[in-house]
Amino acid sequence: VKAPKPVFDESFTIFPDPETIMSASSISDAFLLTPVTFTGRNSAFRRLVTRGALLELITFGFYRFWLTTDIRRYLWSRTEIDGDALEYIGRGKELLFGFLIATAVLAPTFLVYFVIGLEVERYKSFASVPLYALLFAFSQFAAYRARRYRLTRTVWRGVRFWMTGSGWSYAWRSMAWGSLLPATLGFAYPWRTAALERYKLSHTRYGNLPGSFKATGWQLFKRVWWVWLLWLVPLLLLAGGVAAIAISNGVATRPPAFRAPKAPGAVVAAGGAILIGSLMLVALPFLHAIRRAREWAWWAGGIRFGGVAVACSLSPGRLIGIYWKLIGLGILVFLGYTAIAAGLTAVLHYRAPSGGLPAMLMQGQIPIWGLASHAVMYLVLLVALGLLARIYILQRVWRRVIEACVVINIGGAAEVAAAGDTVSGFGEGLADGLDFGL
Amino acid sequence: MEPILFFDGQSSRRRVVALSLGERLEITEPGEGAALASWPYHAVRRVDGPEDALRLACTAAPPLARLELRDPAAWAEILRRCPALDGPGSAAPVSIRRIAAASLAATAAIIAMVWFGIPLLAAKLADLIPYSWEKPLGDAVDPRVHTIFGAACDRPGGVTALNKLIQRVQEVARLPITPDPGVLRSMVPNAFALPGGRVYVLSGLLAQAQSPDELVGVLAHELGHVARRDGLRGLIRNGGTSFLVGLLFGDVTGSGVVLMAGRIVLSASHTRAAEEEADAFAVMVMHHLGRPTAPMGALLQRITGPAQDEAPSLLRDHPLPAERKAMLERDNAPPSGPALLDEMEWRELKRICDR
Repeated sequence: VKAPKPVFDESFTIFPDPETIMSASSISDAFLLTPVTFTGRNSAFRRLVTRGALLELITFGFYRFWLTTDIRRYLWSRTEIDGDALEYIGRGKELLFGFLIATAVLAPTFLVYFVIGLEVERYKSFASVPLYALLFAFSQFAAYRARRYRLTRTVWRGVRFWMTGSGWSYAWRSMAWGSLLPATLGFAYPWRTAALERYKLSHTRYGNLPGSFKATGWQLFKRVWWVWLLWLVPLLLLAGGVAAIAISNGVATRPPAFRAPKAPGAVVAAGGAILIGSLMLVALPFLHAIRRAREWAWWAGGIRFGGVAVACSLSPGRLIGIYWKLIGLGILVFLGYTAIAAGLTAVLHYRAPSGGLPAMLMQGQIPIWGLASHAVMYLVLLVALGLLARIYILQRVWRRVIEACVVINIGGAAEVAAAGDTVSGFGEGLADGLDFGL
Repeated sequence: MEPILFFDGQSSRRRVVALSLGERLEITEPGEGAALASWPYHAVRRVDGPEDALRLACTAAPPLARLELRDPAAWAEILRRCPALDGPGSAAPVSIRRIAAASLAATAAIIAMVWFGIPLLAAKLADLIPYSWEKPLGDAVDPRVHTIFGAACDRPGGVTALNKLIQRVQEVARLPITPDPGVLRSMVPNAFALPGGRVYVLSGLLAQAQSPDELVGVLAHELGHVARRDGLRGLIRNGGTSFLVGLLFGDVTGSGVVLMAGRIVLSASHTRAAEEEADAFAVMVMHHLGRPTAPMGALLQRITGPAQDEAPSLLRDHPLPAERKAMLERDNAPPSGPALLDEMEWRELKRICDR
């Protein structure tokens, strides 16, 4: 069999390897492209998460288990592969129970963690910092187990996905690869991602159809290395500029006899570096969109289930608009919050008995209504930002990625026997309890 | 007409089927004799599907078997015949009222736990933990104190005087651990005790003290905290509360931060009680030493400045300076014991931070 002619721009897509093509029942099957579609309406999702956010406020956050479930139900049931929608069969109650069990496990763990930290601190101040690595390992374990929960609740054509493998083995890999990141200034990232995806997908099954991940770290590196380099430039320029100004200021305060003659030049150069660095920060959303688009396409293109492959041609332009909308709305929300919070503070200041707000703060005598209204304002801000994140980072991006994908050789999944069983929501509970935003 | 699809839950095979609606819901493949499945109407449930389709499962069939119809007529017919489409096992939404009520109850239980349970637990636990266990706690915090304030002041004459002063207090207080005093350089007029008996006075407070009696009152107050084991209690209380608040509420909505603010209010009220007891301890020590208590009140007054029109506040963690001063003056007795330090020693102590 001769390699097929590329259907997509090669820089975005990874093609089925000869193995996949050979395993197809017929040549025409192997080259049959089946669309993946997203049928959800944006307005329905907006309503869903807005209502959910309000309910989260009313229930002191407890509603999050049901909201997470509803969001997944929406996304899954509107994602159609070969005309048949996925189904999410998880329930909020399972997440709640998983969370309660995780709490029972985490309580003694945190206690042990605390005692060890105390012992270590005795020898050297702040020596307990490496212990965070342990917590990170634990959160990786949780992430693996949470993925397993989600997979076993994912059904397509009456057959569920499931997963084998060990959470600890995954956590260990994640840690080992992660330790390479700082040393390589982040350039080990593609290989780390590839290795972790390989582990996850080679332990994933659809019924009795084994999954695998065929994309390589090198392929991702080729696609994103320059983006990462450009990303580093503004950060390094900013850091360098700030450092240079700090140093030259230190020089300037010395007696004139010791002042280095080239100090003004250094300040100008540093100022320029800061200016360029700040300007380039504006480019970051674009860079992020490019990186994300290429990484999604790379990732999807590496997915295999038996002889079934996925190809994805996601152009960065599809994501840039989403990110800018998110940034713009985020700034608006933040400005609104700042204005109202400032007004509130002013009211507090002028109603303070004597000495104004500073005196009141010093004595810790803020009236309860001032405290309460600030707390409510803050909650509303967080809820609004969370809402934006769910709409723009989750649902809109999901839609774009799904719409950019096609399945190759869907016939390979025509008659897959059901296998695998459900697992408890313990992993999700752990991940919830250990959520440090990692 | 849109085809009716059936997945038997055993394999991913997609079958276009016909329905016959008789006694039961019979699912047949055109051209085949026997029915693929036969579902009793009362066991049919509605599950998640795309918006334009009715997706059904059956509690009496393999759990993942699915029937999917898009045809409006068939859809209406199913709705008419199946009595428990949204019964148990369906994808019907959960009752919001029940979730809200349960959350409210859980939140009330947690608040009660944080307000009453944890302080009680902290007090009981602190009583159970031997004093010797407090030492490592203090040792762990001490290096951090020094990274903030630098090394303790160490002019030998001052150190001797300070040790003499604390020894006088210890003679009457008889704490099970030897107190270990020190002076740290800071403009802030304050003093604090670490678990395990370390007591620090900041140089800002020392500068404002005008007599050994004033200073010894503050030292005795801090030793009162050591005796009450407030450091350990606070640690257990804060740890327990943070854990409950952080874990149970998560930080999805950021409610953790707001609850944290609530926790500060809470902990302030506990601290206020602890401060009053530490004051009482100081009064007792001063009485046993035969020294007046009014000078301590005078020092507190000097630090906080002239009396302000203060309303009681939830956030304030110390008793009002005026109240404290009044209490200390009420319990005042004329000196009956020897002076704690002579002129020379007091001057040395005041200069402890001179280099």
